[in-house]
Amino acid sequence: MPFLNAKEIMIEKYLHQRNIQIFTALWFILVIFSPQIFAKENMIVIVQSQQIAAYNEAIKGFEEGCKGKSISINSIYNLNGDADEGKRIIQNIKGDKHKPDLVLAVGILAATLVKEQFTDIPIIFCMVINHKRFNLEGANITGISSEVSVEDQFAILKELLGARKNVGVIYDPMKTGKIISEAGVVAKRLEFNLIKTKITSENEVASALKNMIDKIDALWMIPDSTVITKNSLNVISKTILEHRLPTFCTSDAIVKAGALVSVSPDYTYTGLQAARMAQTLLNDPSTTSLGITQPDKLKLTLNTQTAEIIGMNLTSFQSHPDVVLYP
Amino acid sequence: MFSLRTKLILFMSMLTIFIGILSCLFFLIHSKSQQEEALKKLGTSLVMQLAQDSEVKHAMNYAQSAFLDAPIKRVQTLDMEEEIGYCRISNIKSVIIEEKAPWINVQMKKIPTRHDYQNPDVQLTHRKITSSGETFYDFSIPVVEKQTFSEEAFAAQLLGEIPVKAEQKILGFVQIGLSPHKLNERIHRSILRSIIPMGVCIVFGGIGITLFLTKYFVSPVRHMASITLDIARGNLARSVNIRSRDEIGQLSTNFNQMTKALKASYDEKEKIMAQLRENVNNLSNANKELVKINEQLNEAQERLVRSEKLAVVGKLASGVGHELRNPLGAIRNALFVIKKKAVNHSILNDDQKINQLVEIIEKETDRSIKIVNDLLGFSRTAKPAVSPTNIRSLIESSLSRLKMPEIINKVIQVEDSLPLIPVDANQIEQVLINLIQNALDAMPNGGWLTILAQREDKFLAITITDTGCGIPDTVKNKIFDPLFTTKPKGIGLGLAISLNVIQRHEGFIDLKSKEGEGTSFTVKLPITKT
Repeated sequence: MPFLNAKEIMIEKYLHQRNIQIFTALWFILVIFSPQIFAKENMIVIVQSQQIAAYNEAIKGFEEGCKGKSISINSIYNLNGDADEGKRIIQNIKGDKHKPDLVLAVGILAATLVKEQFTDIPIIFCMVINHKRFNLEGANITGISSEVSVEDQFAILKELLGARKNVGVIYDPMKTGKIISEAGVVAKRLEFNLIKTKITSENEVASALKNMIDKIDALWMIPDSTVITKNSLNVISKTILEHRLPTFCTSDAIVKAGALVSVSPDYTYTGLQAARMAQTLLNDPSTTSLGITQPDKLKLTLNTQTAEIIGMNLTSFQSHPDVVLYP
Repeated sequence: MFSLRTKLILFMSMLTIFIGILSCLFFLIHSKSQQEEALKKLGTSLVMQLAQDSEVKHAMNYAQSAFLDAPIKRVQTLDMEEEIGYCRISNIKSVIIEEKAPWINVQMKKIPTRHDYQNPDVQLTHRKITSSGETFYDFSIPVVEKQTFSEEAFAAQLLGEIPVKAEQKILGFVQIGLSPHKLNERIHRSILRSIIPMGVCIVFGGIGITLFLTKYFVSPVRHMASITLDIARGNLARSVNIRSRDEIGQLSTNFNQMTKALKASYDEKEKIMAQLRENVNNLSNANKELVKINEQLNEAQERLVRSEKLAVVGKLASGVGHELRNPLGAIRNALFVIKKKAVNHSILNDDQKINQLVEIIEKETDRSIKIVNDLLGFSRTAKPAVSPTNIRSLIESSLSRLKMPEIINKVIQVEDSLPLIPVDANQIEQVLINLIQNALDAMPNGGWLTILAQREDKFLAITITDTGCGIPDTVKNKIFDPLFTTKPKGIGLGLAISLNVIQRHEGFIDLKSKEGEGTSFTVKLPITKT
């Protein structure tokens, strides 16, 4: 032990006494408040817009994430995609004497109705397609975007196209105008030539695609409900395969319909991400919102059959983590 | 032939009328299409409102027409202009209610009902139907029990799954027919209030603009045309006063430049012409001068020739006179002696023949002496010894020395108060005697002898006129030549001597004669001696 001078010895004694005081205070706090801390289990209600596998995966992930975190999932309500019925269900939840500590809304219908009815408890929404279209911001609202950022999408696209620059996109300015204006800036930065075509109805998709098909090197499909419909998907899929063009999107379902690549969130991991957020919000009642964040984990879905038809080598993509190959 | 202005006005007016009619047609079609679109939107919103009304769904579920009163009323309140012609609501089994406006004549059973409403994929339809002469815009929509939230359907599609669809049970069917009568009224109103006035405005406005433009464009051209005409008539001082900066202005500037150049060229031509005229005048004057000089030269030459002739003749006469005068004088004297002796011996009285011969000798000798004297006189023409002389007395003296035949009528006119003229009275008297004798000789059968004396400027003119045979043109220029005569017994010295005398007095002798009518000699003598 090194030699200490008198002053140093006094400081050491003071610190020792101080530690004892802090420890004693903590012991008292634990003794007095431990029943409240350990005994209370937070109650969460999950509301899902409808019964689809993607929503169920997210809910499953959320449940997994909540395990062992003193969080009890009281009920899972299915709104069956019916606005009127959903409204009645949400009103019933609100009228229940056991008010939930937090509501997880899965899907846009659930998120909208929950936001409308609950203003005093935290709400977490997820699996909302193109959430920027809907006014979901609020002091008690936390959300996880279901879209991958444009930067991330274009980074994959750049890897896919190489030297080719012309990227076509069809959009309804009423629904996805904001995404396109944001994409314009990113495309410029990444030296893409974004060829945009506006449409206002599903019927215009075929002619819009026909007009741009000879000018583009790839088609970028954004989640626009005017552009992506059951009928238009068939037309798009048929046209791009005829012209041997790659299609890039944010939906693995569209990849299954014929698109080449999609980058989309991992739904289970989105649930886990929501559970972590719920825990944070419940542990700190003073925090009512964590804002809207991007999904933590993404997955790349590749259609090998399409790649073969259009003659594109996707070997480099297969080395990416979380790659799903279809079929 | 139409003018440019008329053509332009006609063309532009026709064009304007055509455009006006086209515009009216376009606006009519556009207005009709807009009205139809508005009607379709109204029909769609009304039928959708009715189809989505929960009370309608209840009414269909329970087949209670009474439940439909309130929804129908709500829809009717939205139909501000009472365009709903009929309304039909039915469930899958039967028609629950059918209503039609009182002004609709057609029977409801004649309005076709949709038969495909069992197909849930068939959404709103609208069609134009005509029945019993009335036309309706028919809107039909199925009423479903439950509808999936569309954004959730899209999410399901995007997330890879067919959405969990609620059973879309079709409860029934809503059908609304809108009558176009108000639409037609609106179109009619639009035609009367907007389209026709607009067409009229376009036509009249167009014609007005055409007139203005025509005036604006054609007036300068007409102005230029009038100026061009003036210029063509020779008024090159005119110019076009158009100062616009357009093509017309450019044309007028060019035109003015052209006129200016033309005027300059015309002035130059006039100047050259004036100079030419002056030159021609000068040439003409010079020619006249030359002719005059030529005449003078000819005259001088004639005079010279005559002088030479005279000189030769004078020399000859002088020689011949000298040589013949003395023998002739001797012959005469001898004849006088013979005659005297013969008279004394009475030879002549006895022998008539000898007497006649003597007389012939005497006569011819006298005549020869006279000729010789004339020749000598001609050769010795002396310088005139002038003295103021009264011409009247000179004429009378000359006449008195001549034997005037009775068959000759004479007229003597001497101007009163004629001045005395400085002449050699003897020489001039001889000249007058020569001329009067010639006149008498020219009138062997009688005639008129006129002697006229008068003042002519600085000369005194004595004109001796006869009504004799006249002098042929061929000999006119020879009669003053010495030894030229037309008389059988003349020697041709009278006129030559006369001319010589007058010329020595610085006077002239003019001859005017016409064959068969007579001859007129005018002697001009200067009044004052130079």
